[in-house]
Amino acid sequence: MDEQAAYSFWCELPPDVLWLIINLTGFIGFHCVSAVCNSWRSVCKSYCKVSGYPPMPSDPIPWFVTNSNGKSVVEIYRPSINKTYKIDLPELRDTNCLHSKDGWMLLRNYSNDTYFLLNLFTVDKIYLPLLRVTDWFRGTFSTILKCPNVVILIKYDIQTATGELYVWKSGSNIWKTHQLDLDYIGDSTWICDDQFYCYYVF
Amino acid sequence: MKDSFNPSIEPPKKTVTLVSSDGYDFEVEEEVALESQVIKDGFEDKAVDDREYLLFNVHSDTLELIIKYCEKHVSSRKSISAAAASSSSSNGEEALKEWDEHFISVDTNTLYDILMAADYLNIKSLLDLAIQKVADTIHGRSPEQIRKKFNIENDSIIDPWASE
Repeated sequence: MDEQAAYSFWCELPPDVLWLIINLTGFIGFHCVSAVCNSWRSVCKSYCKVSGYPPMPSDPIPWFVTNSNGKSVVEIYRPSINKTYKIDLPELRDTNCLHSKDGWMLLRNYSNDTYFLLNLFTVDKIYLPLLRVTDWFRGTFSTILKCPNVVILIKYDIQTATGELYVWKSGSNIWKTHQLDLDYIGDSTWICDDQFYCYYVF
Repeated sequence: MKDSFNPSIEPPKKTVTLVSSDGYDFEVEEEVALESQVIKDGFEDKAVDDREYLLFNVHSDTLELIIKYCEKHVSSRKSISAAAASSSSSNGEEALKEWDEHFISVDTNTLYDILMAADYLNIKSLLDLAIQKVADTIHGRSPEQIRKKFNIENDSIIDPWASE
């Protein structure tokens, strides 16, 4: 039985049948299926639309993502099953990751100074409005239904001890700016329950 | 697979004819054909002497397998319920599961045909079996390995999964 010989109809699997298969695949399997071919990918997209979001992993421990450090490959470590996945995306080249959450990364491309959000698994992209922040900065974002809805970037000037806070909301094409008067911006920033937090050490 | 000869008096079995897409007739017992929900749904409305079904989407090679599956399940159900009635111990369900597993261990082209036929004829247990087999085959494989296994051409520009 030569499985390579015959033309395969598998990529033309009816959506309702592929849905039944997707139901059984779990998080990683789902994203592998969606990367197989364009037809399967669009079926997976419609599955997400109807069910709200892709099946999420129920791991008790968060996954770790290595910083790409300008390369196009990131490694994702899944502690609960002690497995590492490699994801290769050209979008990751020349970027720094500012924050990651729910499979999304907030990235700054330092070669053309743009900011964008990238979903590592679905390869969905959200381009953020142009912003010339070349100074020292931090960034974070929140998600709603596993999709980023608010991004906050902070520019900080050590000399003048002043900072600027930039807020972008989903659907908007501008950044809202707020002046900050702070002694220091900590290493960590994050959003939780609609509150923005900064971690300081005096 | 036929049941062994049973001497008790039974009315002659009613049959229906299933016609494959390539024009072959398969005469099967009524209860075997009724494993298909699609056949079952319109069954009562059909005249007794007109119980012929043209299955445009099912090739004779596949239909043969489907009939084999349905016959096995009808006969197993009978022997399982008979064993339960006489409260004798039976590993019928276990044996059937094993049989199913063996049945579905086919190459991916045949699996596709079975899957499509089970979907078309709406045979729930067979559809579940085939779906599970596909999901098991996908499990732990990278997109590239899935493509290879199912002989799918890569027309996707996006493949985030780095090859090992």
